[in-house]
Amino acid sequence: MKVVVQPCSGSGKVYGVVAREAVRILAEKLRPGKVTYICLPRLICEDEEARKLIKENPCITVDGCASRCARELVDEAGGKLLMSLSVVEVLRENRRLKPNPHSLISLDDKGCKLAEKVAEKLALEVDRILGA
Amino acid sequence: MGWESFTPKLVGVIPCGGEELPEGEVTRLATGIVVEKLRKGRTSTLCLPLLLRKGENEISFIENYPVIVVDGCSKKCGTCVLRKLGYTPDETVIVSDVVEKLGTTLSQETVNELSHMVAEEVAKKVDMIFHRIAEDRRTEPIEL
Repeated sequence: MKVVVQPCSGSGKVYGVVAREAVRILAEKLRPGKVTYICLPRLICEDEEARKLIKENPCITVDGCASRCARELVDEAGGKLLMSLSVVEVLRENRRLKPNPHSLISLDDKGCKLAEKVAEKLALEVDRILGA
Repeated sequence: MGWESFTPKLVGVIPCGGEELPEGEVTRLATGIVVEKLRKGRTSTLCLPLLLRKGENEISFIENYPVIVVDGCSKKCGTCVLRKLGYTPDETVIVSDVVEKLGTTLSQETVNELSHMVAEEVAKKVDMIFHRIAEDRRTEPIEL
């Protein structure tokens, strides 16, 4: 079993980019082999394989903003949603890490550090879910 | 009122932003390059997830401005989302088609280089849309 950790990856706002980067850090460095993710739009385009994955595995969503798109979309598609994290929540605990809102191509230093903080939080949740 | 009042000042660029394949990363980076560098001030990007959730601002944008969808692969999720909402993109760029046309392969190492190439393609489409709008306004001159 793997945990599906799904970022919103919203490209219009820097916090969507942070969500995406955090999941990448988690999947490649912190918990390789333990987590997976899908292309979020696949859930809308009636992709059965994607829907099956989120129905059969525990899911965590990571959203960039208060609209919580990833959480809503995973929930609407019938995903087994166990936890939902917002980048803005992590930012509130680490106010000095506010990234440049215009760095959509690549995150600035603060954005990268914020992504690491989000990834660390996610890693703890993954351990909790897999350990349970 | 100048002529600018009658033509859209912005073209929306919507990347699929898929997480699973490097092609998805290319859509995101290429869109950033267009919006922040190549056609800065004439383009804007939209969050696909917010469109999926019928965000008010996003829907209002696609109702009023032309849009280009940048899809990563042949699943064309970005285009699919727009069609589901009842809209057709004005132009599309598919990264896997660009890769095939260039006869190259996409890997994590070539993502940056390819993103610039895809961004150039998108920028051309932006110019095409503005040109088309200008052409559409042209009529036979009439004698006054």
